[in-house]
Amino acid sequence: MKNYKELFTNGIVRENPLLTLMIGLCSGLAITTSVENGIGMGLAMTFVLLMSELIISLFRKLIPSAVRIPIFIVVIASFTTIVDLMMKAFLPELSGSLGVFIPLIVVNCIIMGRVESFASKKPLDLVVFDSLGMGLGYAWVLAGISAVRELLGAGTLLGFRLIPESYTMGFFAKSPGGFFVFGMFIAVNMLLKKRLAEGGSAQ
Amino acid sequence: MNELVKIFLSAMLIENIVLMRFLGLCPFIGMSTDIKKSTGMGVAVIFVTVLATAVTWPVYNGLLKPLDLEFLQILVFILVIASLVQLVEFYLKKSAPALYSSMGVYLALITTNCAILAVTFDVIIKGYSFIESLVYAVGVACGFFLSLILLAGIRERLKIAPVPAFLKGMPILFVAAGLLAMAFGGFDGLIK
Amino acid sequence: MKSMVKLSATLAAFTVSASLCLALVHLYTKPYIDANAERAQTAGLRQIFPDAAGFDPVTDFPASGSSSITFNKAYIARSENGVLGAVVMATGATYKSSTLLVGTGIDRVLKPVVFIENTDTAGLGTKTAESPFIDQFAGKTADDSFVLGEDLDGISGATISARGVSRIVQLAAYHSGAYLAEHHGGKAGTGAAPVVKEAAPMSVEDALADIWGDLDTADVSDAIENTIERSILFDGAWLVRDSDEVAGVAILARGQTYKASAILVAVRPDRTLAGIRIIETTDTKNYGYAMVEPDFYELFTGKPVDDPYLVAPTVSDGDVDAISGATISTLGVANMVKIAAWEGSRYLAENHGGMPGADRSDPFVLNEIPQWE
Repeated sequence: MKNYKELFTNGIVRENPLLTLMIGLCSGLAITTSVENGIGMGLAMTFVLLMSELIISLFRKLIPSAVRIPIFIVVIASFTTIVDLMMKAFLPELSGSLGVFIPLIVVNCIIMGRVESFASKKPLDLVVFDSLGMGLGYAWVLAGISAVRELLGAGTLLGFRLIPESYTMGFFAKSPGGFFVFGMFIAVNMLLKKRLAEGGSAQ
Repeated sequence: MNELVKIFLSAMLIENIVLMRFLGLCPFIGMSTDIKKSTGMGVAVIFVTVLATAVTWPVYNGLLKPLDLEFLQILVFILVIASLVQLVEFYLKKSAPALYSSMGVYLALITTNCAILAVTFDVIIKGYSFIESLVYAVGVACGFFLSLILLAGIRERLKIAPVPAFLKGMPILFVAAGLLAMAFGGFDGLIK
Repeated sequence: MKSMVKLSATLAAFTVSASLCLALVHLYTKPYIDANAERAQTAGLRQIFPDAAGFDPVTDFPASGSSSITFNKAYIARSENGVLGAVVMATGATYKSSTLLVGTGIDRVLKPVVFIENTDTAGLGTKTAESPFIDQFAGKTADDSFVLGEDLDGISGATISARGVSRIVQLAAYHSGAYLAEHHGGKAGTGAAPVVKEAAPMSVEDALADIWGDLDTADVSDAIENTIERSILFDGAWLVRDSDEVAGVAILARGQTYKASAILVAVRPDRTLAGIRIIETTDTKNYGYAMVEPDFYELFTGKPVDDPYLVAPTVSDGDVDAISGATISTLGVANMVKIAAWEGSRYLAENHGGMPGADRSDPFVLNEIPQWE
């Protein structure tokens, strides 16, 4: 059990894909203009990650090493397509605002990286927790960045107006703001990690 | 001709793929450590992007669409790009080993470059003709190249700059990228 | 070799099963996706005719009759009781461009106008898409005059946008009414098709006809003194007669505006302008080019020749309002008109009994046009 918990929390802080490993950035910054987008993207990506890791772990003994990359691609692309189609059918506004970034989940380095380094080698139960942890780690950072950008850039949070429109700073809603906020998140995460490490070693 | 110039300029500057659309960030952060690496990466990206567009456009418009198989777009495109890159790498290794040693190593990294897949999707969404798609692809790739070189230049300066401790490394890099993005924001309105 | 076959077979197996799964998901989701697309398309239409059961696209809808306004799509709104009306998606020149949905009932009464796109200046021209301006159109009939200041209120600071939008609505409504009357038993109209004055440069002949109608003109270019004042050149003059009486003289002036323009300045013997028309201009589209709009050049109709012709807000109490965003163009135009008007009046006074001007030894004050360094 302890193993599961550690695996799970690994993706959330210690080896957070966006803040520590610095992978899967693309979709991250572009859609974080509203919390709804951030959560939507986070969940979509987690779904693809989970299902891909599951299938590949399930079939890992049957996948020959020489063609493993194309097979990984096929699996990931299929689940990405499924997410894309389902969203177009049942969540058309979210699909519209996320736009081309849903199909781009297929080249999200997090998924490919995780599948290659973990899912192809480990059993199903470990894989579930790893993917959920990584996915959640991705999602909370996206949601956090979106919250900052939506609040400061548009004055709303999940569509609820919190700051009057005349006090908003358009800077945060545009791309430079995205870079800045992300840089700050990385800085804060590095600081947190350092404190945690110091706190751990002091005990 | 005028339309093509507009497409090129808007793809390269106004809608710069890295700075305005956040695509292609992984190699952007990873490769911009020095100008030499950036040049190699940039050239490889231009090459693969144009090639990928040149192949995926006819595949979509000539095969997927007429047969009502658009839902296979993601699968087909990514497989096409991956295979294309493999082929190119293979061919380069054999026939132009010198070129391969300078550029080839980046090719493998490009397969998962979101920028390239995004371009192939874009030209379908925008409904461009074949020539317009190629021009767009070149424009986007040149914009990628440009931003890569610019950031590499900034990074070399950053190495010797007095940066506060908690911003050192990645954070200050993103701040720098943000400033670069602001500058590129000024291109808006370049084309009336 | 055998391993190659095995490898390819494995890859193929995965790919085929993946494609099959995708095909299944696709079949399942397709009806929902199509329904969403249809709903998005007709969303705007439903705002206008909420009671409609359906919208039929119209393929034989007439053209707008204006080169700056296009009817992109047209629909007939149906309910189970019959035809409710027509909706037109029209794109036209406003300050930049606007695309609207204009709905006209079978009784020729307009429905609320819905904006699809507006590229005008944020906060100014885009006010046309907001209340109270946009609300004015609902309830009007297709036969109204659609004139700002008469049956419509304009927007201060966004006259060109407001006028552009009302022009689009007017034409769309008129043609919808005519189409409904012709094909669906709609109420017949009372007036003729609205004449939209084209916002484009015109030839000298057309300009003369536009100002004075069908009067006799005689070329008197040699009688005009051509002093090159402030880079303004007189390139022709025509004396216009109404039977025996002199109606006035028109001088073609070429000069510097933002770039260069040629303006026909028409003067009456009583030292007022019969009007000006823009013959040529290379000024910037959407800025100085706006001088070709009737809304601008009509401002000079009837203007006394002796007015200062100073441009506000450059001169605080100026008598000519600058075109928004095109002050330099307006300065140039005002100078050209003034100088041509003086020369025309001088000619009329000396040769045809026109009213003489006040004696001035020093020619008048002109607008200072900032020069580029």
